[in-house]
Amino acid sequence: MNATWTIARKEITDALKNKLFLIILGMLLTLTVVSVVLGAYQVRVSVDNYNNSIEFLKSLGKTELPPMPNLNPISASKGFVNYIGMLGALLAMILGNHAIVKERRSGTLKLILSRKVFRDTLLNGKLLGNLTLLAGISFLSGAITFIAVFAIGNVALSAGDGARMGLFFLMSFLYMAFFLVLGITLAVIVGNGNKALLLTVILWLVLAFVFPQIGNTMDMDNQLPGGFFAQMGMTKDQQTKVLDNFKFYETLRDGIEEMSPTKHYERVSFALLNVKPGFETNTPLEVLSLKWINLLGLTAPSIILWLIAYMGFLRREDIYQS
Amino acid sequence: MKQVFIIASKEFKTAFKDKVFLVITALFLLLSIISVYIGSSTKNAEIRVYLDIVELLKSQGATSFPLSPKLFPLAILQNIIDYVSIIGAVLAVFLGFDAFSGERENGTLKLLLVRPLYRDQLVTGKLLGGGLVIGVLLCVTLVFNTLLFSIVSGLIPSFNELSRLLVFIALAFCYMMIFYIVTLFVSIKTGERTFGFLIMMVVWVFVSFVIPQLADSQRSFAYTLNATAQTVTQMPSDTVISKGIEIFSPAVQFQNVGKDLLQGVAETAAMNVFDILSRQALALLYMLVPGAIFLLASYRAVQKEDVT
Repeated sequence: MNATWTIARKEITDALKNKLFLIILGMLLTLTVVSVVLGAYQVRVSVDNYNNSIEFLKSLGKTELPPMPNLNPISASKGFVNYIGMLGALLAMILGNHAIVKERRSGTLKLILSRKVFRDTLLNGKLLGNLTLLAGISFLSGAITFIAVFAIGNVALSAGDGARMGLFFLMSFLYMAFFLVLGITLAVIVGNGNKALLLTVILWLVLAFVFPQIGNTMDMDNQLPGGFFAQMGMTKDQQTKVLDNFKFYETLRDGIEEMSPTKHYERVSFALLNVKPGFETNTPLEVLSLKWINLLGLTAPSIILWLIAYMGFLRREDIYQS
Repeated sequence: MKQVFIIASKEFKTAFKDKVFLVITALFLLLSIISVYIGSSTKNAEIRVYLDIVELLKSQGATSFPLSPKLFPLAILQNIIDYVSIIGAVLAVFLGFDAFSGERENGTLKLLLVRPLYRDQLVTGKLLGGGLVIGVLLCVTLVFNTLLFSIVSGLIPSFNELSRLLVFIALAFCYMMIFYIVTLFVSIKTGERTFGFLIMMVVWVFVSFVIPQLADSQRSFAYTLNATAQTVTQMPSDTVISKGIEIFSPAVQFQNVGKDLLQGVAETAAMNVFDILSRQALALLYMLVPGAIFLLASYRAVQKEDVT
């Protein structure tokens, strides 16, 4: 365990010296601040508007005052979902690729493995160190959001909202963890570090952009601004009735989208943040159990990839070859 | 001039020998072909849904019905705008990320520059080679799309439709070349090819997703009431701030002009190509200016390259 921690600590120190990692991290945190501040500001404007209306009604002598509308302060993080979907994934892939490639390039892989370090210990240490970094990023982004919503939005989050937000940042962590493991696995399996990175990026493109994009273009409701069904004047019930005739088409579209971890992350996050209607009355854990398929879509591929990385690394025979 | 063509032809051949580049190229071509199929099946589904809606409303005793969605032939191809803007840009990055740093790392840069070859000729040759690869890919896309368009829709494209398609491909070429030029510049300026590649991926994410997302967050939403079903629809509209943010993203400018050319916008669907181009002159300018700046910067950076 001591060796695992030593390797993990070394990973964290290395990452904090990596210029590219710091650039992307800086961008991600800046965008988090910008999106949360904008979101929190919108909440504040809504609170001020409501208070002004109440004051006005009181000045007119009204005693029956409208209740405060649901401002959904946690939706301030909506923009963050997209930023993590792109920059968070890129950051995690770079960490994953560098974790293996830097040791191979500098020749330290041979050196470490010629000491009393088992191959699985090395991989565990690399994973632990990088997961700690990703957890730190998720925690920092969460802290920024909590403070911004309180300080700028002027809204104190309820325990339920706080728990939803906490779970949302846990989902962000799991999403980034998938791309970290993907980066490590490909770097282990593909001998050439540059090629491994390019292949990781291609896979990222397919999973994070191509599949969701195909799903979007197959979504009939996306074809007109404001939504096709809304433009046609359809109610939700009528829409469901019509879509029943397109079961195969919709299943195919959904199937393509579900091959993408990005889509799973987006779906579970939007449910937790109440961006997608229909989950307002559920407790945070109920939302997770309703969205179990998305949770599975985020975690299962990471576990499978990690097992592949293990098998690949433990069986590699070219590590000591020059 | 002969040296320029030799470098260009070498770039062209090298690109098609690179397996990773071939994978991304195959992905690009496959998606551009799939996009036609998806486009046509979605439009067919749209029509069927509309007919189902009318039937449903009739059975519920309604007397007024929503207007039929307007369909324009080239709109079948409009999904390709997104694929060029996303995958096309990445393809250009893959093509150019080691164009210069690769020569430097392999030691061939010194070898090239001790021969009777001016430095600007090297850049021109690289640009010409990259342009040839992108041009060939887009020509293949054009041929496939025109054929599929005719097969799927059963229509022969009119002169206006064909000219719109040709101008769109030319626009896609310029857009991808912008990414190639910026990548070439980064390749000249960065010591290591992987670092340059990742820098370009960050630029790509920023230009293609972050800026449009920021612009989107600054749009205002108008609410329209549908009299038939008493439903409220949110209609996004541009604001000065959202328009101002979009200026910094060639991807958004490309998508805006592309949608006009491929009849994605009803108001411009009947216009001729020249009217569309003059209407979108500013968008074209915003798209092309960064490319021109980085082109000049690339020539300048190569002149200062220390090869000793």
